[in-house]
Amino acid sequence: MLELKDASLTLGGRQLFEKLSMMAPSGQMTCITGPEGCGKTALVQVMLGFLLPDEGLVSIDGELLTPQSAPTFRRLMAYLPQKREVTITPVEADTSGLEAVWAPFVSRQYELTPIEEHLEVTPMASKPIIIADDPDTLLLSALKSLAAGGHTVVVASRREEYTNLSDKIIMLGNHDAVIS
Amino acid sequence: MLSYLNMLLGLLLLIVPGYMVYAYDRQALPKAALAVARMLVQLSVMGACLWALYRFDNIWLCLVWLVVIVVAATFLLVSRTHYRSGVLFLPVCTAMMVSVLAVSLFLIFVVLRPAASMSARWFVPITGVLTAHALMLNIPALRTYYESLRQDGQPYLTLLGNGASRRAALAPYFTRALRSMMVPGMASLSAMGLFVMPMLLSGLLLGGLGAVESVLVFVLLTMACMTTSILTLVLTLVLADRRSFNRQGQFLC
Repeated sequence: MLELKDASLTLGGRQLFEKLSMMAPSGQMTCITGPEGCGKTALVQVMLGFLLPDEGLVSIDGELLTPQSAPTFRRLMAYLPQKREVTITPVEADTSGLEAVWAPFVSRQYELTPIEEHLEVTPMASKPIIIADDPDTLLLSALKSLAAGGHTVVVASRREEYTNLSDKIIMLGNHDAVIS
Repeated sequence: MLSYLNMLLGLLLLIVPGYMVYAYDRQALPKAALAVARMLVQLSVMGACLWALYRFDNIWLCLVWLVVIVVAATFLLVSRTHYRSGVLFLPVCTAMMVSVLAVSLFLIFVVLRPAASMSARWFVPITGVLTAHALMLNIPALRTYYESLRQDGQPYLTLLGNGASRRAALAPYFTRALRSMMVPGMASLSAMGLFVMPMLLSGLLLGGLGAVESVLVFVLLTMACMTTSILTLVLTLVLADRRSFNRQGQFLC
């Protein structure tokens, strides 16, 4: 279970959310939604430990997420980032690998070596927490199945397909979050 | 020994390129003249320094000379890397100093012994050539590393977000930096001696070393240059790491 308690974040002088408390339980798909620029990606980065909230706490299964503990917690996470230039192919929940997610990051501009060479491709299904930032709708059924299988699935998306099918919705905007 | 008259006669060689530039690209003449003048002034200053180093042959003086050329090389490297100079200056300077000193001492005390000794005659040219190569090869390498992190940092965060260690997440960027350092050098290495005689080899021959010795020393110096450059890159990245990334591991542009 991933939990935020009274978390506030200001980026570039703009307050994205204030005193946000939320829970993303295991076995459910939680969707963070809201208008563009409301801080969905920033909230995802807070959950991953890439950004520290100005105040408040982030915890995973009751353990605090700090800059020191974040690398350990991230081993429990599968992170599907936002910027993807190549269309990803749908993957079945029970056999889903991250191959489809990695592929777009073989950067041509800088000729980076394929990411598989640097990190063993781990099946998403083996990670208890899945955090997806603006995933393609093609991944919806796979993510839903993973949630049904007991995983904690957090999705940041404005797409109706995700908001309609999520068990829980966190609506960001105007500093306040509405949880339903 | 060259006399001043010989040197002046040698300068007559400039007549040919000077005339060509004058005849066909007159606009470039002031720039070309300025470049030649700068070269002459810089080499005169360097000549005076080298004269003093060889005249006194004092190891402390040689070390001061090394500090001066490393600091000068650091200024140039940092300005061409296009990353925050305040962050890079000290790491580059320390990394280059440690690498050049370690490799040159290894060459002098272990490899080239007993011919070589801790004297200006060996220390100055060896450290000079190692510093120059570390500078030239690290410009593209460091620029590539920081530029690719700045422009294409998502793979790094993706790897971190999926549980990779920072070292593993930075590995693709390091690979790229290493490649930009090694690839041009490898191309010239494979053609070396085949079509052109490297300047350094000519220098060794002109300096009075025998043909075989010159080639052997040249090979050793080439390998030492590669080692020094890679050591400088690795040490720079390690030393600059704490100020290039924040506590959460995010790259600071």
